[in-house]
Amino acid sequence: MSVLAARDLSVSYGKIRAVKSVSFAVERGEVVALLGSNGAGKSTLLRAVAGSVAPEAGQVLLGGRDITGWPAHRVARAGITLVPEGRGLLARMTVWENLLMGQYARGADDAHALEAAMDRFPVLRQRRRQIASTLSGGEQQMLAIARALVGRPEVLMLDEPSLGLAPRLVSAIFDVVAGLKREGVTIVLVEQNARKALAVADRAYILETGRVVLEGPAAELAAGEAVQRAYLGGAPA
Amino acid sequence: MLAQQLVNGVMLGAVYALIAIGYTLIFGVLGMLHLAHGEVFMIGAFVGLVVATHLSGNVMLALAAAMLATGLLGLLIERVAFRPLRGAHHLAPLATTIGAGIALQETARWYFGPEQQGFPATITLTLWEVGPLRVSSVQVFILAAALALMAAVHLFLARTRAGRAVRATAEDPAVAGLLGVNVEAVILITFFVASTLAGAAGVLVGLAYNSVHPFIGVQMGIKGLVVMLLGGLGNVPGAMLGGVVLGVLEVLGVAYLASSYRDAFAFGAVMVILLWRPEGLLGLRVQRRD
Repeated sequence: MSVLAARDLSVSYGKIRAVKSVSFAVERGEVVALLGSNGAGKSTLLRAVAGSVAPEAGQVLLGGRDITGWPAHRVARAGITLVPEGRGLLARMTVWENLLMGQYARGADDAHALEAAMDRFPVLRQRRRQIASTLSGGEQQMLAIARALVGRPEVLMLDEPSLGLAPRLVSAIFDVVAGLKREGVTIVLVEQNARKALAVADRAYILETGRVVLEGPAAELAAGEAVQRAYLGGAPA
Repeated sequence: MLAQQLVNGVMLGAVYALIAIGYTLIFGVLGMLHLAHGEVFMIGAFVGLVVATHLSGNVMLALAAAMLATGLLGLLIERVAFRPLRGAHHLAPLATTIGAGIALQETARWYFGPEQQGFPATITLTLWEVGPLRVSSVQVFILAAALALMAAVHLFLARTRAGRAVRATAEDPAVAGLLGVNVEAVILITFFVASTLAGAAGVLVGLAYNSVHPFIGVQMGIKGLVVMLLGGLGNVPGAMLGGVVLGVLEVLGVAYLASSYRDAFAFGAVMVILLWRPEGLLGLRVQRRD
């Protein structure tokens, strides 16, 4: 059974239907990329799964359990963690407090997970007493991912983690995602950087104006002509 | 003389700070003003008075009863004056909370009568002379209680899971929700804590001035708001500092100008401070880094 699945999910903002009857499934340990241009509905889809917006129709299933329409805090406690676009850090709190808040949904502190997160991102250990807003953009993204990981989510959803970062840092973030994949973390990745996302993902869905127009193994999509033209800017390399 | 005034000012300021912390907590979490907060303070003073007069002369018991009663009152106000307006314009609760405040004033006037009442003289008053300073046991109690409550709030916000959830919600309710924080529960905790502080302040002011009546909350409500602005919106340490600054300014105004200009001097000074630091004494300046 898929660990996470959406069935015919539709979401509207007022009269605008941002997501139209989208279905997708994520197996345990998989990295699934949701790709598409600006306004395709990727972020809305993640927000609907996370409970930040209520879907208009359709179902969200976590390990087979129907969690459709649950408020965000219940979804988080059930094991889905969304790192929202713009990172969603608590900018006035320290790095350490942000990490502690990452374990809030678990109901208890897990010192081992905190240590592991700081081993993964040593810069966070160095800066643990600093206010989060004083970190650089790359460090903030590291903190956002670390905060999600210390809660040991069933499913980690990353919304545009590379947005606004310098190319060197974009590569660093994708290295982190690749590392998490090797460790067996289940990830849903929304990205505009389709080339890098397809390189790390197992499978991908391509959205256009709120609908899934293409889906399949990432390697096949990356080689396919349609994707090449539309999202990778040219002929296969 | 100056030292004596400073002692009086700090005591008064500590009480202002208790009220301002409540405003600031609620404003922080909801982004809305609670204009019946002064009336919560007034109800606290009356509950303390009733307990001290009829049940027990123990001041601690009166304080605890007033805090519990006002905490529950705060939950009621949240239910009737804020929750129906969730998602409404942020100014909408001005109308509902002013209405709630008037209802509380009139209820108190109907039940307790409009005249001033004093705490019973059961509380033994000892005067200590420390050098040139005269300090009464009531003053010491007020200061100690106010500081202890502020320390408790600080520890709650800084060190506990629930306190961190309150701060996370104040900073960004959507993000707090994604982290597993039940924002509705945080709002209730916030109203309860803020209202207990106002209730405690009511008892302390009642003790200090020995004068409780249904309209003492009006001016105190305004002072709490001024202190919140002075300290920096949504900033708890700022509310503490702002309270002490306003209290000291007031007693200095009384001491060196005239008692009838007490508020004019204090509020005038606050205006000057805000012209110099519009974000408040400890308010955040917008910081940016890549």
